[in-house]
Amino acid sequence: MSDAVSNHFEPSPKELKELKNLTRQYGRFSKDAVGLGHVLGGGLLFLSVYLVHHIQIGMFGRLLLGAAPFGWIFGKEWLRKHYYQFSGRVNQRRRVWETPIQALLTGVMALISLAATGFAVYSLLKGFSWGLLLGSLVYVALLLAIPFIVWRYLRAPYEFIVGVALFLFSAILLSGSPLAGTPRALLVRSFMALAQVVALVMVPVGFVEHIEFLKLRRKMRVLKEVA
Amino acid sequence: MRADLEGLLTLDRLVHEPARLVILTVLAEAESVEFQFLARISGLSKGNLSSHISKLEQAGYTEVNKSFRGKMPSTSLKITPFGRRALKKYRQDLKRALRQKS
Repeated sequence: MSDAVSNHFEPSPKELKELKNLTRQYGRFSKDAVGLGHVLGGGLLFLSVYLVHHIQIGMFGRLLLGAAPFGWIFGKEWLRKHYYQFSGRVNQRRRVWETPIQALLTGVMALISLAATGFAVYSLLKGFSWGLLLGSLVYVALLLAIPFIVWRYLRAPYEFIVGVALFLFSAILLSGSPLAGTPRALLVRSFMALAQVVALVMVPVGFVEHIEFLKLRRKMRVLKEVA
Repeated sequence: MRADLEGLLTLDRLVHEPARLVILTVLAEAESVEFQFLARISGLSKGNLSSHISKLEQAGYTEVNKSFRGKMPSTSLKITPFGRRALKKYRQDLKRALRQKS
């Protein structure tokens, strides 16, 4: 709309509703909708679990798989900022329950991280070795980073479960820690199973969101051409 | 004065102006919106948009936050609670006036 035209512009209730919907849909890609980021996260979790259970992974493979969640976070944040929010940033409206829930989840993750750190330190003191010390340091560093990552980067519900699973997996892989026979084995395996179910949902959800985005982008292009 | 006309005349003129109504409607749907998006979705020229935003900011209906993203300047806008109330009241007043008219 040019300056001259704008003087005669009268938005109809239908047009205002359309603008509201476009803003809301576009804003979803700042938080709730992750699109291909969901596909990447879900796919990565499946791939990691599959590789660990079916292929003998060497040190390099462990390092690569362990670092993958960081790549995922970087990738999904890049997509969010530079691809999905292609026409300036729009932050989705904050819901009343959002910050308390996020704080609660971060708090729970902080408690779990501290408990696991305590367990790792206890194990180290019980049977010290330099190899175990290095593994424990990596394990503890990643565990302690999880609450921060949850608070800062894992805002959507699917992201939270799959993201925590990926980082937990990363901590285990990078520390070289064996799982079988430890008391936490059952707990970790149960959580990983749950995360895989979530990942199973997350991949199609991501594709659906991406298709929604393509439609939204088309609508916005039409809007620009009309203007 | 006729009741329907009185209703229309008491509408908030600041919100009633079409471009500003569009700006407030868009801002009400998000936590914050960058200038670039608002320009694209409203179809208003940058100069026109800036002038309307200044008026809304002066009235306390919007907040403008200027910052840098890397080396690029970025202007982010937000509707204030006062602006949100004004938009809600405007919608109610307009509905009432139209009802009286019909």
